[in-house]
Amino acid sequence: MLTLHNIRKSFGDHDVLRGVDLDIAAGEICALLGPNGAGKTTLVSVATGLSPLDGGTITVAGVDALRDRAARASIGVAPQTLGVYPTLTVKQNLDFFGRLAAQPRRKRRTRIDELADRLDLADLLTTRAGLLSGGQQRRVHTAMAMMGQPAVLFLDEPTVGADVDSRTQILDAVRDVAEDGCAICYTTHYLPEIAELGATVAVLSGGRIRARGTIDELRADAHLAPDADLDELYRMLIKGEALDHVS
Amino acid sequence: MSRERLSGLVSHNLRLLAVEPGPILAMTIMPLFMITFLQGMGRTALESGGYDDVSGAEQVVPGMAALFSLFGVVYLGIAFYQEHGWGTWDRLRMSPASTAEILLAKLAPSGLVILGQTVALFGLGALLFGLDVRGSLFALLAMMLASTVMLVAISMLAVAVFRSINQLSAATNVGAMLFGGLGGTIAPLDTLPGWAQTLAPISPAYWSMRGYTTVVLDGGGLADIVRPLSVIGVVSIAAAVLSAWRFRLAEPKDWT
Repeated sequence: MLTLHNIRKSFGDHDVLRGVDLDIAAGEICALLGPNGAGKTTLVSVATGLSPLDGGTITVAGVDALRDRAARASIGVAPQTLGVYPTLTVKQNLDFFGRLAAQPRRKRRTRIDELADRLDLADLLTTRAGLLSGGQQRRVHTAMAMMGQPAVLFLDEPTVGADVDSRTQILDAVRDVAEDGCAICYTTHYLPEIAELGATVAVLSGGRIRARGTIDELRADAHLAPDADLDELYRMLIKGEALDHVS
Repeated sequence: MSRERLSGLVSHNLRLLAVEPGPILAMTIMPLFMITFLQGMGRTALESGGYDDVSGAEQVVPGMAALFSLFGVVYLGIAFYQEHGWGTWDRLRMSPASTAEILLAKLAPSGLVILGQTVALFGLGALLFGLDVRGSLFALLAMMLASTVMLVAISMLAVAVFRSINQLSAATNVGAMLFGGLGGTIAPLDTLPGWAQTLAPISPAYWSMRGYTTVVLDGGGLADIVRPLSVIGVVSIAAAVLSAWRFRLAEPKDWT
């Protein structure tokens, strides 16, 4: 569904992305891992059109997403920085993102109800977003990205600042959206979250994808036991000690 | 450009203005106080300038409408900078909306508010302060529309230039008082010091006032305001070109 090919991006002399190749299938949740500064957020920025690419292509279902507006419209994004309209109600926030996706009124209403149910926002729909707790705002922020029923969804550390309940609800919603056929690129630092999502992993290091596979595959590549501690695997992955498996 | 998306963006921006109406109400109510306090002075000034049978509203209503529409530059600033402060600007840029749709949906509501404020002040001026428009109402409306377009273009230039809402607010306040005063919005031009009368044409408000007074006081029609309309047109185009050259969609802005 989503194909990133030879993505390159530099800031001055600093090459952040040196030819990233990544495929994410419909219905797949791909966790993008990497140490701080590895370029995860930069990759999300260029893939979603926020920053210009230095080179490479991004296609959604075979269509160039940076040139074709319809393909771009099929990408949803929840950036790392919280972005909600605090003076508008939760419903108005969601409805606006439905309108941006050119959804008709009836479709928007149905979608708002679905997302409110998935993310436990039903009782908050008429509340101003600015009056919500951090975790509730994070759920609204994520729901806004899901509103247009995108074919591809980028979630950049969507559970940062979320309490346990909000985190659980966000993860449940992500799984549900993937089951609907959405290809999801999910950046995080927490491997337990990846296991909960049943996600595949892509490790971004040195400006390239250095490892790609399921957690079990990566454990095997790292010569770890199948029940080995995930934190240990994570440390090995980001230090490059288990970077043999590139699929 | 998608009509559905554009209408969604415009109504969204109007809603953002409507849920926090304080600045708009203030900019509409304050000139009414000013008109109350300045009407007598306006009558005296007009009578000494040779006008008979005037209430003073003929000077102070257009004056306050022109002055406070200069303060309206801040509306567009608010519309842009608060998006940056809320973290929604980048979300808009990553959305299916095109740059043209995003900008148009910011500019149109600000223009509507400035125009609405001007129309409201002239209407209330007639209703409460005895404003008598001697010339063509059509010409008056054309003057209001042209002045609004010019202010929206100047607003866009201000957004393109200033990095924070505080910078823009400070520049708007100083600029409005300076160019408003110079343009004859507070006191009639012929009562200003000689140097100010010489410099007056550099003020956009001067051309708005010249058009308004030609219609309101001198009974003029569309043909009589061609020159101020032309100058306003040139200023609008210059401001639009400069803002298009200077504006950067990705440039960070501070809401505080």
